Amino acid sequence: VTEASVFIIEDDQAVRDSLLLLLGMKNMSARGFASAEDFLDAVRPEWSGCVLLDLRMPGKSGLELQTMLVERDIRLPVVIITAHGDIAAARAAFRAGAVDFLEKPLEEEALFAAIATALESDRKRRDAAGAIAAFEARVARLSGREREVMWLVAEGRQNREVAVALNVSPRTVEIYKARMMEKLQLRRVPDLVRAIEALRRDGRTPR
Amino acid sequence: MIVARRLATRCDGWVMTPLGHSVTSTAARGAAGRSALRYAGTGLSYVIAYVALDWISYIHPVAQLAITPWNPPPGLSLFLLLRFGLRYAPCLFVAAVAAELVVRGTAPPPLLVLLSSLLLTAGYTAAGALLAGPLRVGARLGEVRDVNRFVAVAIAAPAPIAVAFVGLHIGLGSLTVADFSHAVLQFWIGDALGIVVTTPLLLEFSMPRAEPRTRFDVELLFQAAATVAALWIVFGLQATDEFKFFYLLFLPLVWIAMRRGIRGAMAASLAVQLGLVAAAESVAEKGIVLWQLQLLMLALALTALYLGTAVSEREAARRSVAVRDAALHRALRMATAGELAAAVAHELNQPLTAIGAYVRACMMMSEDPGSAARIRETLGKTAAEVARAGEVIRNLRGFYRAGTGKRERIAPRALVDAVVESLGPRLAQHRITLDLEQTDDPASIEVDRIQMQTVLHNLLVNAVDALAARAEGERRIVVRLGRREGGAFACEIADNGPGIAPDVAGRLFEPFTSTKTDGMGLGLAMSRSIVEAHGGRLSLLDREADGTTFEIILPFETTETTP
Repeated sequence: VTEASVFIIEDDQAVRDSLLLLLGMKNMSARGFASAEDFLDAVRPEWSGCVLLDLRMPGKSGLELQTMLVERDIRLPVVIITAHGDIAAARAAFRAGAVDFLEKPLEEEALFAAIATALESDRKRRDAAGAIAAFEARVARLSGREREVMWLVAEGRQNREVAVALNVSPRTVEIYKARMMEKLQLRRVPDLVRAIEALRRDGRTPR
Repeated sequence: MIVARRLATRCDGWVMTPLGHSVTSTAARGAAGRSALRYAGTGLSYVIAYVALDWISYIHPVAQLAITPWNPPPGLSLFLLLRFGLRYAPCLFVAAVAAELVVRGTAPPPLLVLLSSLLLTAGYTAAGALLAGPLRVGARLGEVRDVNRFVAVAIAAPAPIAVAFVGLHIGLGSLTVADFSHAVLQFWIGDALGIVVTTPLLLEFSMPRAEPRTRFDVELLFQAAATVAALWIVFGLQATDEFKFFYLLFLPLVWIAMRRGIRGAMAASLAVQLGLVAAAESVAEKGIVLWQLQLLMLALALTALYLGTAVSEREAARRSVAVRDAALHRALRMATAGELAAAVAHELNQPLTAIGAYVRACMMMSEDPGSAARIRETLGKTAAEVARAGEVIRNLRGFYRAGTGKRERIAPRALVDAVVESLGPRLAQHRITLDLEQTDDPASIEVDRIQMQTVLHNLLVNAVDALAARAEGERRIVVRLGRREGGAFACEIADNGPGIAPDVAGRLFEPFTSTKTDGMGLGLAMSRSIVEAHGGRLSLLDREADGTTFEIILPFETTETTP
């Protein structure tokens, strides 16, 4: 797991350098990129943190980069920093998923507030993703019977109904269910329902 | 639109009366009363003026009737109807009766006065209605089109009126059948002449001035003198044929019309007509054939009217174009100012952002006593960004200052050296070799030092930026100083960068053209205007070899010592 960083994508060398220095002084991890292409070449899915993105750059514009990041399923929150703060640009940036839109010259408080918000949202998203992944891993460790019981219980069936469906005794269902809940580290049925919902929302459909 | 304007001026006309009333009352009753008063005032003024004009022009009458060679009263009537409206038609009748009683002296038969006055009123009211109605001739004869219609009516209308008028008098026994053709001709031309001279003059001078006031000047004296001289030659010289030199009268008239437009032309026309009438009167016994003189007078009046209108029309068109041009230039300037402001904002925002971040960082560093070296380094970067912001401002100032510089005599070499020295660190940083080649020793040049340095600075910075695309160790700039034929000073700045794409080269010197992402695109535009303000030329040389070469040429006059 890498440390959360601020990725500064800015073609102006002095702006990039000064922001890196300032973030460094705040004990934040930061990396600079001179163009959208440089960043696209370097970025890895496991990177965490947020992006400070200039809109007008040679080569790909900030807006194009935003679109390409979405396409690549790289969900680092994006904070726009621009010297051309017009409404149309801001609207386009927000539509492409930017979390904030700052105009140069930057105000320090606003910059750090935006960075903090972006990092926080990235952390939350990652925590949620981590929880889902952990749950998925636990589901994978269930035996076939336990998994069958899990689906039926998650659908809201009573023990008796499950027993009929699987053609086993209710007593046996009790045992499978207890073992399944233990392996999934869950205590109550509603927790199970919620966890499976989260899995589905994330676009994953476990067998 | 035109109709609306016409209506507006017409309404405006109603407001302005000879008695100077104004319509600002809100009470309908008061307004109605005032309106009636205004009507009475305007009508009375008209009747008095009509009688006076009739009395003055009552010369060479036919059979003691209102048939004279130069008859301005109908012109006054048409003016009244066109300027103040057809509702003044009854005044025409009053004026005609009054003129009969006052001017003709001997008491004429009441029936005849009544009938002939009715005839004149009906005839000229019809002419006025025709002009103001279907022909839509406004209260001002602004265009040649209006003049055409007016002249057509002014010449055609008196003919049937003349026939009816003379016929009436023959019928009632005050004229004989033998007088018919003679009387009709005299009436016709006399009234037509009176209308052509009087109505446009009164219309023009009753309206607010459309053209800038022409001041009384010496030319006016000469024009007046020329008019008098022409009149004197025509009538004063004891020539056997009085019309031999008549054409001379056209000269001052054309002169005045060309120089002073419709107002001058109409005033001159009136003056010449008065002079002609007076002169003809004084030499009447020499047997001038009246209707021939009348025709000549008519030709003179028409010439003045048309020429004056054409000149005024052209003047008005020129003025409206000038007004439009000024508005366009203002709009363009505003657009450019907006673009400039946006570009400048961007250019300043970048260094300001960096400066802000560096300063914040320095403040944090200052809490640690051991970081003096880091602070110094960061402050150095900050200073560089301050200089960058300053350069934006200096460029901008140079852009506006172009052409207003203070010249001084300076050696070209010193100029170049100063700029190269200021760029030294930048050249070193990018590992660029700069060679200075001097083929000849150009004399000192007389230029605005700061402006010329700005030009050289811009061109060199462009070269430095262009060389970023080239590998280190191959980056080279050559500055060549020399002379061209005629002693012109030449300075070439060449780099071996990637060159300029042909599609950009065409508009390279236009403002806001830039190949850089962080450029305003003002550098070259500004540089060119500075060089051109020095009488020189800045151009991109088209060379086979790769790279870019700019050439500054300053002319002989700038480079040589002027006494």
